[in-house]
Amino acid sequence: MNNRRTFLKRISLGAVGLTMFNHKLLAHEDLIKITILHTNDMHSRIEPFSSGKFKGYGGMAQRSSIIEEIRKKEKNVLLFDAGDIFQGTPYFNYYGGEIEFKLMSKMKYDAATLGNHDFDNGLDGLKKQLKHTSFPFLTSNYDFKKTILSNKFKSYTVFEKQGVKIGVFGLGIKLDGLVPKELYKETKYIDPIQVANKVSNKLKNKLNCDLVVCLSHLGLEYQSNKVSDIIVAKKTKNIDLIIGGHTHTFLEKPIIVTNQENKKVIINQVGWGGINIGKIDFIFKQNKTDFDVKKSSIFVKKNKN
Amino acid sequence: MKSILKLFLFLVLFSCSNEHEIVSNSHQLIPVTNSIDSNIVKIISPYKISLEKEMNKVISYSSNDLKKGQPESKLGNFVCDLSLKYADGKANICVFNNGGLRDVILKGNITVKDIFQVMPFENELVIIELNNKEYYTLLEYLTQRGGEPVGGVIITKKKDTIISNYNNYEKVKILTSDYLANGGDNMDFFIGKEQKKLGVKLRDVIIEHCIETDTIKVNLDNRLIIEHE
Repeated sequence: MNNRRTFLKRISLGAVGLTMFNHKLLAHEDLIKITILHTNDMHSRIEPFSSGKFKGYGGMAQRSSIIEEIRKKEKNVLLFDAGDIFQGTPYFNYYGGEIEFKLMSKMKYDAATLGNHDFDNGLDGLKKQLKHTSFPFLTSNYDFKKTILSNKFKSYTVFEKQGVKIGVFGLGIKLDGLVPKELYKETKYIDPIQVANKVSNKLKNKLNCDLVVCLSHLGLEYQSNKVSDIIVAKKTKNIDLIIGGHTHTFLEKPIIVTNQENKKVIINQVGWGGINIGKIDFIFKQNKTDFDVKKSSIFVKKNKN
Repeated sequence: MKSILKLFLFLVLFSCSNEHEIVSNSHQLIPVTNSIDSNIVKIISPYKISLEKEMNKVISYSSNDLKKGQPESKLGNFVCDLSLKYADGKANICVFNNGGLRDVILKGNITVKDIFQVMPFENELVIIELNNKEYYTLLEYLTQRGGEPVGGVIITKKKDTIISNYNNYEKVKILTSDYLANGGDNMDFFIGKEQKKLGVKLRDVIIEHCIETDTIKVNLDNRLIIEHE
């Protein structure tokens, strides 16, 4: 590899290319669009809100129709959830999460992570409902080895769409103090930063993922130094997108944070109760051995705004 | 100079072995409303029908409207007294908060749904033991707030003193919800205290009481009086 020489060449030409790359790039036939749809903290809201300020919003049948419409238009759709699927309406009290999982499977969710309320019926209650899921739960920082849920969850998974590799992993919040011990039993919580660095490095650099997505139920941000999505983004190196939950934050647009290597990390969260669906589109370009000078300037430009 | 360094970093990073690179991204927030996927409705339907049947079950009859209010209220007295009865002597008094009672029970048939609306939270019953001084802080809180639901106690505030039938007790056992026991609604005096869990949800205790009681009749009995000068 003549990396050093190409770097120098790129730097000298980068600024020149900055103004003229745009439509050239869009006309490029190798562009691949990946559409990521996401929800968080649906809290057993099977039906739309019938009162209050969200009256008329939400509902699984309504969500499904929007997702179906998007699937008709977009080739490469991935659908994720960031946890707290359970608890919040009598549907959960009476059916224990069965209908939530069945409907998510019907909507073809690709992956989800666990929220603290997904432990509300204990490990038994969660295990009992897993048979209704057709998607994996990804959780990298809970160790279930000493529990009845041992081997039920994956740390990460890799999706491939038109050759683009998307690595996805999950992070859960500290259960102690949030969930009674008798519900989560011997589930071990591991420091999310350490785990996130390890798993995202593996996804990006060993499994060569083009995009690394973290499904997180840590919460967006706290007054204290409690670990959050913002902190994970800042203290890691290989995450491109964090889909968050727990704090029920309604973000009008994603937050951009700079990571340990000065790369941008996108963080998004769309409230709760299935009121919104988040949609993030990524446009990918296939790398050529003859590295295009102009495209590197895009990152510089993007990073600055 | 700094930007050149940044540029350098980017170039280094994107020369890695990954086969594709992001050239741009965009986002959209999609509110969920209106159109319906009938396939999903079909799946929900049997659950919905059977749930509604459960929720519409008549479990008791109320001979008057139970609403919340201050300093005491029929709804507050109802929930506190039945909880204390459930605790069966394990606690001296019961304390909840008006904020946690989310609806009213109107005169007439009481359904399961009514109780879910009054108590939508998954709060569980716990008992906390307070010493004499902490107990007085609780009394100050209750009176400063203008009254919150209590049971098993008579509290009177006159000028600067608060009198109650437990003022001279060394320890007072308080029945409350885990939410308040963890300091909810600024009940700071509960924070860090040992909690004895009864392992039952407040809502289930209310539902159980209704099932066992043919006609519910609640009175105001001057259990909490705040005398204004």
